[in-house]
Amino acid sequence: MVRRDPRMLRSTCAGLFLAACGAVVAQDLAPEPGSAPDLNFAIGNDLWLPAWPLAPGDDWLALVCADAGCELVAATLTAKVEPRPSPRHPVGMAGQRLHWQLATPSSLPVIAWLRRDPALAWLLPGALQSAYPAAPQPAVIGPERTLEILLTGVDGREERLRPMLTDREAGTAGLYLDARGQRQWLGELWSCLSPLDAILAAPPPPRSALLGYLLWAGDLDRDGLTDYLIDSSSPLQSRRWYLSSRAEGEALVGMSGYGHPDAGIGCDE
Amino acid sequence: MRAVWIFILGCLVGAVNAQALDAPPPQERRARFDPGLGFQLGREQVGLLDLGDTTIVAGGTSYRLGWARSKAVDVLGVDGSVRHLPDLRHARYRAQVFRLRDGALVVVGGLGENDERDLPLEWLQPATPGADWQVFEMPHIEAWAQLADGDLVAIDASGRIERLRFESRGSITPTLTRSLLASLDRNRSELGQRTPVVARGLADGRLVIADGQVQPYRIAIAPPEDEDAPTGEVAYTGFGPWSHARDYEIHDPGTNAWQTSAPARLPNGSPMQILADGRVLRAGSSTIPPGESVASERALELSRADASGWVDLPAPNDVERATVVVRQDRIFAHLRVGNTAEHFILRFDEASRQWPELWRGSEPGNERIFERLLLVDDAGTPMLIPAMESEW
Repeated sequence: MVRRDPRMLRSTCAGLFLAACGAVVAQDLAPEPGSAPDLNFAIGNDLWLPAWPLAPGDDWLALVCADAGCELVAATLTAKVEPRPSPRHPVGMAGQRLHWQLATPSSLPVIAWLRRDPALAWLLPGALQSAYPAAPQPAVIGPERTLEILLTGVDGREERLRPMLTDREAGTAGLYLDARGQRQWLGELWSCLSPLDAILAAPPPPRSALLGYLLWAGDLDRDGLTDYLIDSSSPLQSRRWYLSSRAEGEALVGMSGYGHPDAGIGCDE
Repeated sequence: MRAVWIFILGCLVGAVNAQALDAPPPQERRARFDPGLGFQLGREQVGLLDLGDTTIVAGGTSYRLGWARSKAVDVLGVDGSVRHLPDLRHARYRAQVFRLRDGALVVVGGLGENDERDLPLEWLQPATPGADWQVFEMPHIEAWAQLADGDLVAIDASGRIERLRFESRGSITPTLTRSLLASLDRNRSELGQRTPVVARGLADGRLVIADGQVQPYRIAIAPPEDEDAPTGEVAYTGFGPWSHARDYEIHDPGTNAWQTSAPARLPNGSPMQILADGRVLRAGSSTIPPGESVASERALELSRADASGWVDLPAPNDVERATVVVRQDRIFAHLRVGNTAEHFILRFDEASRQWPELWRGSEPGNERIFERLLLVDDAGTPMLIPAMESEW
């Protein structure tokens, strides 16, 4: 079994720091020396973020999927300074309103907005091999009453995302990836619902909400192995990319950044 | 003078004897047979085992006993005969009775004097003169069933299933061998006293477990952090809110694996009953408690033989007052006419999908209908059917 990555804990603490201070970048979130930079991405649109974390520009890509498959298409970000009323800030809390737009209008929903980066040569417009939601072999959602997702990876082999109960008393769960004979912990899951049984008691969230942890699976980094975009339903840094090209040692994937907004969306969203 | 004293003494002895002869049997041992009606018991909520010509009646309770629990065990014949067996060691009601292949009887479950549920199992070989019930301690068990080979299975709330094999070889104390079946993949437990988990072994060796409350999802249990676990090898448990079970599970002895049925259409309902062929019957309702709302929908749902779905049966007249009873592979409905002493039994005919009336009678005097075992002739087969309260 692959051990939990201590980097994640450090990064989570950094995220808390970010949430508290509204700092733009914390030192601990910076990519490790010698490694590729993290993905800079956002989920949603018309987002308000504290401070000024993103500069406007047309160097963005949108991940969109149709029945036939998924692709990255060009997009533009506009950013407007917009303070938000705050009881602790008489003039409001500084921040920016962000709006992305596809270069070619489309009715397809955008799964994620990704900023292009010269250091990530594979992050280019064009078709992507997808394993979920659009895939040559559709994923099996929640077989045998589970909340698992069984999919055919981009290399043709079976992969399984498996929520597991990590502490029965506390009702905490984690998300695990089973692939190529390995199992890897991807982080806590549904901590917004904790303690799970109490929250699930009345009324229960729909099954689709509990299965919503997988936003996309496919070959983003174009190395022939599956990458994952996960929403762990936790109050901080809930949306994460796990790339096969960032895997270390026996790991299947490695984390590559948190999506904006990475704090403050909390459990209410 | 001496003769006078002898005469007086003789009168006294005679009076006492006459009183003893004329006194009714104790309330809990009463089993009066009324031709055309069946048996009027002195207790209700008894454990019943239908053996064809005879029915074993174990335990029970009654308001006339001050709701004390009974230890009485009777063998009632469709010919009106009554035979008393030794008293149970533990008084109980809502017990279950099984007969093993060697003729031994086993009484399990039920609720005791203080409604305790961890009552011991009791075993008796009635063919052995002077035999008494032998006690085996048991934890609380959610459901009991008997497999085709005669072994008993005990299903606990965690889904653990234990197979119990008794061997007596003529001894009054049997040996008990325990083994495990594949566990259910989720917990299943009683949803109040009126909706217990029910189970039945089928002639082909399968085991069906139904009803009670379950959690809708399954989740794998993470191995300890310091333990290497190969992929795929995980244990599961139930997950999510507990709710009334709408599906049931079937154990295939060939594969030692469980299959889950499709869910019933209506979310609530009266206790499920399992037919001899493995189909499950449920008087479903769209509300809790059933029938509380005028807008409540009710339907009799019967699962398909392959467990792939359910079909609605036509409901008997006055369905809200009906109690549906399964005996072997036959479905009956018991109804009372208003609050009168008159009641009747319908039998569902699968070919015509009709509910022809099978029996009608009136309870004499001030007897309690719910202490009645009705003697019904179903196409030449006499059987005793309990008159029960409607659970819609």
